[in-house]
Amino acid sequence: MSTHPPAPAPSRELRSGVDLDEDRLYRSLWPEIARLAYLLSGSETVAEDLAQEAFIGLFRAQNVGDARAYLRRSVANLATNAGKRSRREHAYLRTVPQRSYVGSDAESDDLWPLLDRLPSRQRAVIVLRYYLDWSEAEIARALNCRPGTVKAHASRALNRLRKELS
Amino acid sequence: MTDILEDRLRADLVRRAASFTSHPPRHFGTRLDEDVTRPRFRRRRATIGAALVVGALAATAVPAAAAAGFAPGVADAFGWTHRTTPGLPLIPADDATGHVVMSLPASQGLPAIALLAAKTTTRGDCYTAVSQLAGKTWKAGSCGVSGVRTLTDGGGGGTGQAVLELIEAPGAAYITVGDGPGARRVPVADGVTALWLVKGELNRQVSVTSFDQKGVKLQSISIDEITGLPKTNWTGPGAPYTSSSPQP
Repeated sequence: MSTHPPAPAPSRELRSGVDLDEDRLYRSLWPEIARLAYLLSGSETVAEDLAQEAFIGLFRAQNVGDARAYLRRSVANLATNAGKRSRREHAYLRTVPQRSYVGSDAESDDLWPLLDRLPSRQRAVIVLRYYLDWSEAEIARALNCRPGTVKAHASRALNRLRKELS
Repeated sequence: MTDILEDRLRADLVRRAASFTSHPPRHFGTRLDEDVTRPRFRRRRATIGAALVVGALAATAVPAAAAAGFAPGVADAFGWTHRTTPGLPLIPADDATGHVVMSLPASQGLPAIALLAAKTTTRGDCYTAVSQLAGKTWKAGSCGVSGVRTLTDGGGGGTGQAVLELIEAPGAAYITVGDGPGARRVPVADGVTALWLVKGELNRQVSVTSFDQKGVKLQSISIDEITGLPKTNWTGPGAPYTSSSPQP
């Protein structure tokens, strides 16, 4: 005796609770959020993890307001937390060949591996400050710390980078 | 006057960001409409009824190298969450360490599934799908060997009214279960996945197709489902499945 195949299930709403607008938002903001996550984490695969997690948080949150700002803050937080938890994994990832940086010059490439050696919080401060041009107050809000702490992280990170380069 | 290092940081970060291209793994919640072709993978049928302990799943998401295109520690569009949590009790016991490869929380009348993995040196990789249904713990287990896995039809079944399938699909990022618009799409992690066969899939032929991360079809098998199982009465927490119920 054969049974009828199940009727086609309703699409995205019942599967994930995400509606069409959220889907569009996801597709439009994904590239920039993933790029930010990449700069913060130093890893392509981790970047996509973090970006996906940030979007899930966005879609579950209520009264978010500015989705882009929310995602950026979320990714920054996730990256620093991930960096703390997975130091061993990051050490492994540093040994794995990353995507080649086509068109780079040797001078620019010097900074990327140095950034990788920064503690996650210092790295986050550097990325948010010099890539997104965020103020100390904005960075502090994203990382849930005081502006003074941001300043200290930035100072230590820059000192360390200068020392590595010299 | 700006600091030279700060200028370099700005320029380098912008260039580095531009060098990284990433596309969303899929549309959130998108469905798949695909036809079957030809892959190569293996399936192990669960024998339901074993009484085993299911470890509590940790909520911590630990980023790690992505498995088969899905991000560990992140819930994807199909409800599966990948986690790596060492130390969970693993079934069977012939393993040194265990971790959760994927977990599917209970939803829409379906029980949660934990897909646990152990790596052994002699028997290859072992996987076990564990879940709770109707107050009992069910498992599907397999210890394979690394390398090429050929398709086998496990056949048989249990004495209950549900089937927990452990699907081995090396190289696949996801599988589809069923045909046409009604096909379910299930992610694959580390070459394995687990699923409950829904009511409409019992006691009939079901197509299962594996796809790689780019959506290239790998292999298709036609599962000749368990005969002898009741054709109705899907039991478990929540409402029984009907043909119009949403599928996982």
